Amino acid sequence: MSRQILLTGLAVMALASAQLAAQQRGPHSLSGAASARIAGLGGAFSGGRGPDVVFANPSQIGLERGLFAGYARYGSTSSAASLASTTALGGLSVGVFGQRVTYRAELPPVSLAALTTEGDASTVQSLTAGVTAALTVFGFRVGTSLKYVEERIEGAAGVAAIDLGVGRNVGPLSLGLVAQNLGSTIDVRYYRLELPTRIALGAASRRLFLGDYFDAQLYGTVAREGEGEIVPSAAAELIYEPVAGWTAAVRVSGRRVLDGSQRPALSPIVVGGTFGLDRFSLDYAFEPTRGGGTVHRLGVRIR
Amino acid sequence: MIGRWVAGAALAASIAGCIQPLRLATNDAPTVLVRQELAAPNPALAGTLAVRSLYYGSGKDKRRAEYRDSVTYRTPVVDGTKLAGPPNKDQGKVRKKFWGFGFDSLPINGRVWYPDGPGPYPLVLIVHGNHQMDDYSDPGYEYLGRHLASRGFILASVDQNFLNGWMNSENDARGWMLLKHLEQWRRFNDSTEGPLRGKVDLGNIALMGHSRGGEAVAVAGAFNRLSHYPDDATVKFNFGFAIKGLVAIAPIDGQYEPSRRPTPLENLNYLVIHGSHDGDVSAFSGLRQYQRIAFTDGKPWFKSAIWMYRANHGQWNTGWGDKDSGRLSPRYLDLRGLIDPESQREFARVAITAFLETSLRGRHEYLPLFRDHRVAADWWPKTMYWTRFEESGFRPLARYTEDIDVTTGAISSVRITDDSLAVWRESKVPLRWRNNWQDFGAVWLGWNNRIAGDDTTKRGRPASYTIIVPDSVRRAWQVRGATALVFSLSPIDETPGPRKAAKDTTKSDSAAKTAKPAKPAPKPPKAKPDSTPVDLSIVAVDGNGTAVSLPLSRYGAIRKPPELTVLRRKGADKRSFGALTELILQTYAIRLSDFVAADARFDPATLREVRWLFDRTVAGTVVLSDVGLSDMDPAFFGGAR
Repeated sequence: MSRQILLTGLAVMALASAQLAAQQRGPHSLSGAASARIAGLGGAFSGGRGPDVVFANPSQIGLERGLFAGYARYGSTSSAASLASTTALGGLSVGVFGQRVTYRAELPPVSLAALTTEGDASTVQSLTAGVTAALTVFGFRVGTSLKYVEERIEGAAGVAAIDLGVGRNVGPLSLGLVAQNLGSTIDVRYYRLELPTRIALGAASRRLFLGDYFDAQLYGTVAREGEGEIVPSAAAELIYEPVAGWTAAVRVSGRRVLDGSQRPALSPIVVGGTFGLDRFSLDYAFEPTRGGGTVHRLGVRIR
Repeated sequence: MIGRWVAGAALAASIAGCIQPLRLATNDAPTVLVRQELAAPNPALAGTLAVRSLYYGSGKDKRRAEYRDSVTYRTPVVDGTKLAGPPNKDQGKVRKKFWGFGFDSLPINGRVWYPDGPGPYPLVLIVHGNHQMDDYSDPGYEYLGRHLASRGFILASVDQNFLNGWMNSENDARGWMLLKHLEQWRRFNDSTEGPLRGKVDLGNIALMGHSRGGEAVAVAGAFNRLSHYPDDATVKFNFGFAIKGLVAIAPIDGQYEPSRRPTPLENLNYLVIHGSHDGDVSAFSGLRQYQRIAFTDGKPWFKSAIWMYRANHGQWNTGWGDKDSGRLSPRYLDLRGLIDPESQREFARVAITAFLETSLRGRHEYLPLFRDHRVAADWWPKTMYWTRFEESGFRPLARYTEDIDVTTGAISSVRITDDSLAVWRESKVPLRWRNNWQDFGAVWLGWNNRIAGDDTTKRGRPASYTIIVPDSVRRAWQVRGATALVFSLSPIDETPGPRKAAKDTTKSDSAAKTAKPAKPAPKPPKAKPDSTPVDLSIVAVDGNGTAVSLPLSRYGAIRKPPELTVLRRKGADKRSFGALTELILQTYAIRLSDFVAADARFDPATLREVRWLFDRTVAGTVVLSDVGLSDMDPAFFGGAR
């Protein structure tokens, strides 16, 4: 039975992959990085862990449960807030999450990078909220998220979307495969907004011992996005732990940026860091744009 | 820019605030280790024999070239499935893939250092404990192997790396494997050819083990005398080797319990050593096994426990070093307080060699070292040692585990009284680990000779604690001048308040009633650690009432347990352990002839009372246990047997 569920899930993900070609950019609450760590890793987080992984791959939520709260500032006009909580419920791992992006927009909605520039249009809110559940079947982690997505613009109605994920540890790697934002389009008065469907395969290493007080961790993800573009991203994290439980980490990531010729455009390089004390972590990410402003993100995780 | 500097400074301050400041007790070695009384040669000195080495093993080891390509003796594999197995299926697969064999075909591998001579030489096996299974532990005792071989012992370091890693409840297998090794040693000795033919003195065998191996040697000692495996009697034993001594180095205790009972042992010599700054086995759990060793056959056995200040878990193995918590040790453990590795190993050379020379060769000149380590002041690395000791001549007057009556001793006719004690209670002695015990009882004795009141110089009669030796016991034990009073004691950091003034019976009650009510006592200041050194008198009283007093400090250091900070994170020790100190009682042995020397009128044959008289320190608390008399071998005092 469990094996059937697993196979069905994989089939749905394959089907979703085949339909990707017709899709376009969607609401900002789905297309922007929901946590400072995901941003700092350039989105290479499909094999990651932590409460914020609920935004990247639902199958991974059982690896490290806790609470996450994040805030992002796009230039001086737009901002985003996100929240996630995961916990154990019997053999299941379950979670709730949400993100709200507030921006000033012309119609149709501007690109993510453009949120960092000044605008004089009306304020728009992009909302996502959802629940997630995961369990382990035959050594595979499987998980799904159900989302409600709403772009509060021009009387658009909210829609439902789903994420499907599967993960497994292979040697020193945590692998994660995920199909995200499977769902219908959002109909706005003059146009139709496709959800940013994405299928991604990611890997995260264990903490690699570098020396008495230093570790490293590596991340990589290859995603098929939008109209079939392949978007690779990779990140490295250097962790300094002078005393057990006290960590300072810096991370740098590189990624392929779609529509990089336009201005403003997202930067292919993102940097970030974390201060951790036992179960508490404070994350930060700095994401410059080309031809625009900058994005600053903060996040708090409690494991 | 200023903001960055401020942030940097805040970061540095927060790191510094998280790290435990280094705290070490003042080393009293300059005053304790001052005289070398033993005339015997230092056992840590290399012997005169040339040392040879060889390997024995399965000859087909996938991971260890020395046990595949270089074995002098091929050994069979043994089926250990009834004694140990992987903790789960996945681990079983991982282990089998790594090692190339399962628990049904465990190899008997060992590396040997032996003297280049005709022999026969006593045989010593040493086995490592748990560690990363792919970071092989058996080569780490080469320093002991070469040293002992040069002095005429054969030492084999046993490979049990395949029982390492993520394993639990396997210490029975570790112990059993040692005995399977001894079976092979019998074959090596009996073989018609080979370098070990006829070289092994199988009548004198000792087993040594480190960490889990330290418990394994006790298990082996117990299994050696059994006909069946206690947890599955379908496994038959037929060992019966002449194991004369066991050495446990920083052992765990209770990982395996035969028939769910602590491993019992009797009638062999036992040495356990442990470091105060052990970052793995962070309590002196070997004291439990020490306590359980009984001497019942009337032969001359002894047991000794030595706690070395600033020693850790791993430095007794050159491969393990200072990584008691694995490679992340620098983050978890405060390594700054550790004694240098060579000093720690020098201590091992002294203690272990002296023990083996005594146990396997009958060289009694080293016996005093176990009674009072100060007699070998020049040999020990200059740090502090706490020592426990008992030999088979010891007969207890009070063990404090017999009953709940504080006025009786180990024998019903032994009576116990006190005078002016502020604290008098019996309890089990705790280990540093939370909710763990040393498996023996003791009495807590607290006193304050100061009389409460404004006059802080006013003193009452010194408090005391007395054990009355009944005539029947004295006669049965044939107490004489050579008899020693033996007990174990430690002061602790507790000071009772001043005692109440004696009631003035010359004043009438009515006068007392009309007296002005006393001012309420001021709130006592917050207690600070009491650094006052403790001393007391031991008083022996004979049948004629002659009382002779000797200062206890003459017979050994009297130290409060030092505060230990093993972990690097500030406050982590307090959170992790039940106490910041390890209460280790120091054993003292005082011959009754010493009382005669102090007062010739004293007649030891009529010993009536032994008294702990708290007259040398105004206030304090001591923990006392294992009080008894011993017809100790004179060799323990450096005399002829």
